[in-house]
Amino acid sequence: MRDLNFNSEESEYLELILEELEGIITAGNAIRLKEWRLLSANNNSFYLDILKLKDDVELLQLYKALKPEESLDALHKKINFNPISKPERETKIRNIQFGRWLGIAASFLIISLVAFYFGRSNDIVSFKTAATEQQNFILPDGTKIFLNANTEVNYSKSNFQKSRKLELVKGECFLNVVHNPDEPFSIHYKDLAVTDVGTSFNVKVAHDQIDISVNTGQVKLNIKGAETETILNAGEAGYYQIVDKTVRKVKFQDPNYKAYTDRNIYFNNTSLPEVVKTLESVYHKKIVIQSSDLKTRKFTGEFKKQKIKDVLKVIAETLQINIVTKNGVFYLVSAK
Amino acid sequence: MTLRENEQKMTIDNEILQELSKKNQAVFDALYKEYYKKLFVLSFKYIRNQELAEEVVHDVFLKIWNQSDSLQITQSLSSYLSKAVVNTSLTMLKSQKRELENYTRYEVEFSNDTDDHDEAELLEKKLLKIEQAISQLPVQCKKVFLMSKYEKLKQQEISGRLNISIKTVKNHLTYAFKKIRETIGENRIIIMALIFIQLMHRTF
Repeated sequence: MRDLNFNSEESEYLELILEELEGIITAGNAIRLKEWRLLSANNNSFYLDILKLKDDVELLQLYKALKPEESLDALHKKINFNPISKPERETKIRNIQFGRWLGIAASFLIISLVAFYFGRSNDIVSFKTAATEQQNFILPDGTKIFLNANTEVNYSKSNFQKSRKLELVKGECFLNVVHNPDEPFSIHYKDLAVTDVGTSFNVKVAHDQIDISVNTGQVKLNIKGAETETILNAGEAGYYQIVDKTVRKVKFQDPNYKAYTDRNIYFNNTSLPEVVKTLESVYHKKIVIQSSDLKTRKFTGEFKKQKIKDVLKVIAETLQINIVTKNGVFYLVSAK
Repeated sequence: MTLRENEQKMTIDNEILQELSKKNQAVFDALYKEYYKKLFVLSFKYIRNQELAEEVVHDVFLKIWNQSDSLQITQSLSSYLSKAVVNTSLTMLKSQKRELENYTRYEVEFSNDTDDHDEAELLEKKLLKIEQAISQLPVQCKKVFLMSKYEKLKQQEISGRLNISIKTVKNHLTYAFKKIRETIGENRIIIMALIFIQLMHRTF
């Protein structure tokens, strides 16, 4: 019995540890977890074990992806297998960078081949973006679509001419629709249909909710099986709950909902964790708040089409934070 | 490893070294392919940068190739390589001192307690053990775990993709972590026992 209790307590805190690792832990739970760690050496070593395990799993993933032959080929180039010679550092670095570009080019090729293949074989055209990639496309009717990272949309080539229907499989996209009253444009996610009435708007799948924000014009929301429809005007947003199939309409929008398309970002007395969340979703870079005292800081300011480095520099100077960059991750540390 | 196996290994190591001093490229290549993965991941564990880890492994093997006639190896070749990789990694880290601070949370394990301590080998064993533990998880649990760790999806995203509640995602993840931790726990005891046996052999 005692054992069981201990285990369920462990599971409870393990959940908090995982939330902390993902950066989604609430402030209250973060304190609870910290107190629990201080309670006993056992608790703390459990905590450290989990961090280590997470790291080991990442090492395993890396390990499994390694290719000894490729690495050996690269090494051969350094040795030449002729008279003994010291390799030159510069050429080495250049080789590696070239390899990286080659890798990126190869991955693009694969993406386009996949799209091509699907387009050919079963008439479905599929646009997909990877975790850190954003893309824009023009659909056959001239409608512009901007895909955020981790997004997938499909349409049927043969049907698109007749009815302009797009399916959102996952992620987020911004649409600037070419209006045609005879052929309404619509985008579908599960039971929800968003139909344009001449407009540009954003659709985002956010866990169990779909967020629709209207930039210009008007859209109409229809839910399969329901009679009522909801009209959203420019400046308004609608939140569709996937589970209970209801729409909530509000008169204000997240000012940064389409920042990923134009890199125009506004912060008004925004807390640093919120700022980080927005920047991560716009730039798809990892930003970590290292010092917990930073989490209560607030920032006000506006950025127009700036690089993430410059945005962070401004925030850092305003809030007196130091930034450490490591492997493409930005760590925010309080300046002493 | 028994004493006999150990001796056999030493003999093989000596033969390899002899071939290397004769500049036998086939032996060099085979050696590289055998050790590359575990040495790379060991180096990465210290320097947390793939390009630099690759450079470390290359440097170590370049040294072996270029100085093959003057190499002094007193332990097994495998633990020699491990130590060379760790030392080269640490030197590289020191040259980038500023970045060192970030790694304090990955407590670097120094263990010079046994001569023949082979860190790469131990790390590889541990990783493979984890891989095995992952493969033995229940199907859905494994799926959630891999989505979370390999695809780096957030709990929310997994819940959306698999159409399961976020609570279920959490349950799968905690179960997976506990189960894998248990299996490595057992592993750790076995490794300790192995080290102990090796020490006993040495003393008597």
